[in-house]
Amino acid sequence: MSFAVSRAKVENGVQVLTMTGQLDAHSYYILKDELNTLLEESNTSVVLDCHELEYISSAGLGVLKQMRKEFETKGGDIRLTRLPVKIANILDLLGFSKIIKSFKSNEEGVASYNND
Amino acid sequence: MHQQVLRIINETKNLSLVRKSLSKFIEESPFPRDSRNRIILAVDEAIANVVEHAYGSEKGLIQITLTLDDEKLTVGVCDHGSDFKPNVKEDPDINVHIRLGLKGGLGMFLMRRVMDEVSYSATPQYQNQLSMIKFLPQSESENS
Repeated sequence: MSFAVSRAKVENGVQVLTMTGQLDAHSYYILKDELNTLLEESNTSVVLDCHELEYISSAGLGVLKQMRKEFETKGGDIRLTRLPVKIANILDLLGFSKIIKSFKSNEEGVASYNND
Repeated sequence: MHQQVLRIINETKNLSLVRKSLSKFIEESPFPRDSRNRIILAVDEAIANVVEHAYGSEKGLIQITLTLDDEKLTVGVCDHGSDFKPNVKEDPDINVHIRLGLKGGLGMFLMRRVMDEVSYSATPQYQNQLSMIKFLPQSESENS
């Protein structure tokens, strides 16, 4: 199973992306390229829907960590939604659940930007 | 005892093949699902390290040996690449690691966190041999 990231919708100025497949040392650049494109477009408020994400390795988490910092410096953020249990467990194992905000639904993820 | 030997070229596209084979290999083992997922993650990190570092820009062979017996799962990862002796005893502070945005080291942390034993050695046949052991859960209470 390969990896893909696609733009689902823009809601209240928040870009919602959908990730599918396996995010690892082979595919991490696909996510990195898309996030860099969003930065260039000044779309810095992002929700990443993880519902169809099957796997994430430290290479994928490394991209999220690095890009989240860059988004943050431009006043934005990257927030995760609809995490499958196995993905949430990996984030917990590596301590990433403390630094990346996650929400149960895309609606909650989008709305969270209004509370900042 | 069950054993399976996988041989791959050092290309990242082969990581998913190893994960798939390992997942199938331990599917019927006594390891609970979350433990199986963690083992797959740790082995994936180990092999990703070898793919990235062992042969530089050259093509090279990586042999992965999976062995499951009544006591444990043993995963051996062998390559003919450059000498690699990571500090397997040092336990990194993962919180500091993440806060500072350090790039490397997560793979070793994961291997040591997930597996019960991690060791490196050099053999006449292979330049580097990484061995990882995960003991089977002893009782139902450990499966929870």
